[in-house]
Amino acid sequence: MGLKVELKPGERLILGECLVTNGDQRTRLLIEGQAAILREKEIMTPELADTPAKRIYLALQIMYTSRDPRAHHDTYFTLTRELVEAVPSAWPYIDAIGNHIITGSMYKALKSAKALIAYEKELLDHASRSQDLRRGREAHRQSA
Amino acid sequence: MSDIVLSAGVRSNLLQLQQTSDLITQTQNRLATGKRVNSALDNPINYFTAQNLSGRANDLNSLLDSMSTAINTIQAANNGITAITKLVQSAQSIVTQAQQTTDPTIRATLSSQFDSIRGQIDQLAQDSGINGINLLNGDTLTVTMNETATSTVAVAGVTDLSNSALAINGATNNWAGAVDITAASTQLTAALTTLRSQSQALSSNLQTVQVRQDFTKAMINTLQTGADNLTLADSNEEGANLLALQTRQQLSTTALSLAAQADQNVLRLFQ
Repeated sequence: MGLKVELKPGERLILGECLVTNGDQRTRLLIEGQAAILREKEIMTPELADTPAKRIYLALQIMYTSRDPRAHHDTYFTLTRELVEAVPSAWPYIDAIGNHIITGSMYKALKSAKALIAYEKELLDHASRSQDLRRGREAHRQSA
Repeated sequence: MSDIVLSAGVRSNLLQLQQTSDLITQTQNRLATGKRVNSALDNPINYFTAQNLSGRANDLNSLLDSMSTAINTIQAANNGITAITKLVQSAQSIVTQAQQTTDPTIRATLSSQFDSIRGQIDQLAQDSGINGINLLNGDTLTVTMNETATSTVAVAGVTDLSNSALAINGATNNWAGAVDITAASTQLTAALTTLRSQSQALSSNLQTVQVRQDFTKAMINTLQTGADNLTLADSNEEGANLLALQTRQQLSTTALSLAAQADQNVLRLFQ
């Protein structure tokens, strides 16, 4: 059973080690076999990866699309270790990602990494909100 | 009215479910209020979560042992194939010698040498197992990759690498006629091809298991690091840590090497 992918005009897709760009009409593809498949909207670039969890996603993506994933394990583990040390409650997410990698389903690992990014966003939003509050309070105190 | 009786397994599942949903509510609560752990009840839950998680690290650890046994088994089979290949090659040189002479006595001697090599091939194929699993004798090796055993890699054994499977027949007619020798030569060439393809299949399996073994090792390491701190988790502190880490990583070499790795990858086409 293959994977069905529908592409919008001009939409791009990574298929194995190639970049596929759709022409000027909608296309429906049926892909069979073993190859890394990434839709355009799922792709993270080094420029976009500006938070620890997004970097983990990028590292996973490199592992997923590379011929020898082992070469990138070091980077991946440096990143996850740093994250787990800073945010121990991210442990279950990292665990889920790791489990998918061990069982060889890299695409599912990427999906779990997406959940990790969402969790990180919650924490970051929370942190910046409380910083704003603190700053606001200090400003208030100074003006008083 | 009789109560519904829950089996022990169902009850423990139910308990786990309740704990999980408690944990979610609690996290949401903390994110909403931004308050530190404020009741004594919060701590035990985190404590048990941490325990549960380090338990998983232990489970993975025990899988590592079975993975290394698997690697040894595959390696043993691979060594067996290498040795058998050498035997087939020396059988080939005996055939070549026989082709160069017409003396029936020498041919008969060579044919008996050929037969003794055949015997050794059979023995080697039977002796290439570890732990009762011999991939060269039709056994299948199953390697479990995760602790729930939902993912396994099955290394299918070569059906049989003895002479009968390699289709190397015994010397016919004491190699009196040239036809008999040519038949042996053809069989040997075919056998070599079979051996080569089997060896390739084994090494690709070996690599799969090795990659996963390495990964599992590093994974356990990371998991243990985090589990110890989980009891101290607090969303305020974690948020602040995360911001600090974000800044630190921008200046670190990890971000640079990540960019470099992306650049060597198909991903560069996206930039």
